[in-house]
Amino acid sequence: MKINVLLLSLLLITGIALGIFYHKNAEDSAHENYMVSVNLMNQLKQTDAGLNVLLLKSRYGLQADYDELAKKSVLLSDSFAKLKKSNMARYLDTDISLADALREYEEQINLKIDLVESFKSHNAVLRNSIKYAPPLGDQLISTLENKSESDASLLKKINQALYRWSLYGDKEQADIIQDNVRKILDLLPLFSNEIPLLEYNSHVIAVVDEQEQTQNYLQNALAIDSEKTLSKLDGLYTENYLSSSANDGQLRSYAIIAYGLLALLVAFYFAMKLRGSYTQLEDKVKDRTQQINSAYKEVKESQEQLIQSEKMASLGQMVAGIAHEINTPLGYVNNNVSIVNNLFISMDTLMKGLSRVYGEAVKKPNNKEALSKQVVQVLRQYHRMEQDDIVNEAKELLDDSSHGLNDISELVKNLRSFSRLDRQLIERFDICEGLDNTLKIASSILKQSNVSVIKDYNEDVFLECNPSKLNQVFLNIITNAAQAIPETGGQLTISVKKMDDTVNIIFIDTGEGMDEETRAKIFDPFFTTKPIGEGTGLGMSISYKIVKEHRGQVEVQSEKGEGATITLSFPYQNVE
Amino acid sequence: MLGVTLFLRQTYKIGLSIGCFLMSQAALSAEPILPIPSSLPHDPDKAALGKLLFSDVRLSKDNSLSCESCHFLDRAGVDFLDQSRGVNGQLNKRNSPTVYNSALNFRQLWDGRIDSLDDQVRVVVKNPKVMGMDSWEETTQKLKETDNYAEQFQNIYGRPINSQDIQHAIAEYERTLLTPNSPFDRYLKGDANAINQQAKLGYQYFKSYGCVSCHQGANVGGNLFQKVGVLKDINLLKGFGTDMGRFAVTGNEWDKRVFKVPSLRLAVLTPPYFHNGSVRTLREAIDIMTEFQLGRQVPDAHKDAIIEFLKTLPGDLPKGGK
Ligand code: HEC
Ligand code: HEC
Repeated sequence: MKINVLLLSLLLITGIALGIFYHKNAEDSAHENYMVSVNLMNQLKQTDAGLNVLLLKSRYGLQADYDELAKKSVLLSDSFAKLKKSNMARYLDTDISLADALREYEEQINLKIDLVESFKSHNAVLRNSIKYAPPLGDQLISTLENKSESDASLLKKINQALYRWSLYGDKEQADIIQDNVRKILDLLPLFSNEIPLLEYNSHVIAVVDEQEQTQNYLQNALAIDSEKTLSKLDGLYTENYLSSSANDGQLRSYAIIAYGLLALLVAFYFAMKLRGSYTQLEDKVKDRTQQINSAYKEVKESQEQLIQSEKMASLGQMVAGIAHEINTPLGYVNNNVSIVNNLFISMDTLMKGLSRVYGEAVKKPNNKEALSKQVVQVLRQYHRMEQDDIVNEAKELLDDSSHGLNDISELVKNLRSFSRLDRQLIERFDICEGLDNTLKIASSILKQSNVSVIKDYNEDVFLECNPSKLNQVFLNIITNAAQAIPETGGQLTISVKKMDDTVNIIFIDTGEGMDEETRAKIFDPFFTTKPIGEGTGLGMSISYKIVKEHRGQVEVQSEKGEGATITLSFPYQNVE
Repeated sequence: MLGVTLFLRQTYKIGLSIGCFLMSQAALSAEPILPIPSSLPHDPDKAALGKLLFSDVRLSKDNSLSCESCHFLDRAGVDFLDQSRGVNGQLNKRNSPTVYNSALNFRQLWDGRIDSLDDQVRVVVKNPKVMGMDSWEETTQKLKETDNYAEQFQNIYGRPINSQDIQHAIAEYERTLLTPNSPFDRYLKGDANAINQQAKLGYQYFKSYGCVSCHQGANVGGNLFQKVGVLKDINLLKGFGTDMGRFAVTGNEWDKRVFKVPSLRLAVLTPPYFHNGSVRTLREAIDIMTEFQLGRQVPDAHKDAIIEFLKTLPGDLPKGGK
């Protein structure tokens, strides 16, 4: 009897120890290690995207210092070094394609960093020369104009091309400069002070060389598809992780079997009971492994969304800056078109004159005198037009316009690396299903703070929206609620209500609530109550933006210590 | 009629270029130079340990040199020699840059061949022409035997003294060597009287002549590479020497005579100038800059104003540094 008790308590203790060991260690630290690598990859993705934006800003003179750009390069190589040493390293020996992807990515970012360095050097020189050369050219032209018209016209041609090129950077102007640059020094004898012409010569050469280099390095750097390689890497890594955590799960079941056998040895009748619970346990283990696997996939998807949104925010800033670059040629084209339009008025007068002559000739073919008078009038008009060179003028204006349009399309090409934004699909979305899915993803964090979730929804309610974005909003709100609830536990109630003209989704938590200050700032970007390094402070501001994009409203009711109620409402016309 | 359209078109073009110019100016109105942060993230205990090591001659083979022998902490972090002298009086080929604000540089050394401050320590201690230690085992052993380094490292890093932590401690100390709060930084932050009229003018010239294309950011340089002689062949300058700079690191043809653009934060305090210390005065350095880097003539009065501006760049030396 005593032995029985002893063995039983031994069993109990081993069981508890095993349970704690597997629950805490195996699963949690594997999670954490996995997340470290995933977070590093996310950081790399963001840094890379930020780098692209800064490159374009520097190219178009919207960023006057290279500190940020230099920091991004450093961050890129630092994060990569960390990634290489992170949990991912475990799988490199066994998975060749993972190792290959990692190597490919390393090569890509190293190349990119080198290209960025070259870009910076050339861009710095280009910006100086392109600012200095054209006004200097104007000065030289005005000194020459009194002396020699023809020589002045050479400089005029070059300088005009320089102006245009510095504004739009089109190839044709570059060719004009290239063809004429060698003739500049022939003008030396015309100047008593040669220095300005020599300076002009070297700056024009610098512009030609540096513009080409700068553009090349920029395009090549932007063309590196490191993001794609990273996604591949991410995918392969996750596969490895999932299969190894499946192994862990297996190990866990073995441990339980061993435990069961041990128990069998201790006492047969205990074994009978234990057997039942063993199968139950194994089922649970399997079930949980599967749940976790699918949750991981979804978490990763939603993280990608987040990055996409942050990228969009910085894109927004950049687009504002670049708008004027597009506006300039656009204004020019617009103006040219209206001038050409005016030119056509004189064409029209001419045509009317001709048709009058024709009418006269048909009506009174014998009235030679009147006829010839009319003809002379028309010819005079034509002559005047010829003198004014209207046709050529119109042609030139139209040529100019097509340059302007080319420049716009060049700019648009530069932006194309960000153009995956077009993929925003609107779908019919089952709100309840979305909430269920999100709750599944958030299950670990909910469990961590012992949150019991009350689902106060069952009807099918549909919304026309971007499902993944709306799920992102749900996830943000649920995560915040879970974090606001102390570890001793609490409740989160989610209800979906059809109102007169809106659908309301209401999240009520029993967490610590917010004071007025927090409430006021909750939607500000970068505002966070979490310790530094834990939250980006972007979650709620992104959510806010998403809700606004869907023409919805967010309402926050909360007092310190009293929990919080967040109400999302979307207009009914979105709802079927 | 055409006269009118031509006139319109011409005025439009002029207006357009002025508009563009203004826009580009407006876009650039963000200042290219930024204030130095008052501190960088660091661990004070580790930095204090690094400070001891920075002045410890045991880091050199014959106990003759510490870091401070070539980077005087009380005098702007340089040694004022054309080129530094390492163990046994060996002549180096380069001038010692300041250690102040070096944590703000994107890479280390004139040719940027080193990425981090930690790594710089790793390399310099073993460099036979600088501190000349045979290995890091030797260095660690030497430090272990003396004073209470072993104990301090154990306490602060929580593990036995080792090369990695020694390097880290010195680097951590270097991260505290900042010179914030300069008159110019105060001016940038809105104190219009922090610098005089001449210096303000100098800053305008520094921007309008294009010095800021290369010397910008918080360190007024130190964040990009640049060829010396971008607008005029530097071989035309006597005494510039044969150092090919970054070319020796990358082997790329274009990298000949490419150096890290040096920080100008403490330039007024740190003659001689350039990678080989070949230039005695700031004025000569600026003469070379305008001729070879800007490719244009700059009147003497403007250069004087630029020097007046450079004088406003040094900030407070850290208290521990004096
Ligand atoms: C013999 C003189 C000498 C000694 C001793 C010395 N340095 Fe230097 N230091 C130099 C020279 C010369 C350079 C530039 C070398 C180059 O660019 O190739 C330099 C460069 C540096 C730089 C790079 C600064 C920049 O802006 O690129 C740092 C940081 C630095 N030293 C720190 C140290 C530390 C820390 C120690 C002690 C462990 C040390 N130095 C010892 C002479 C010395
Ligand atoms: C095209 C880039 C570029 C431009 C523009 C430029 N610099 Fe420099 N500057 C450099 C480089 C590179 C060096 C390092 C040269 C060397 O060590 O051989 C340097 C060195 C210096 C130095 C010496 C610093 C030291 O500690 O040795 C001073 C002073 C200086 N520049 C001032 C100026 C001024 C003033 C202007 C504007 C008139 C200017 N620079 C424009 C790239 C540039």
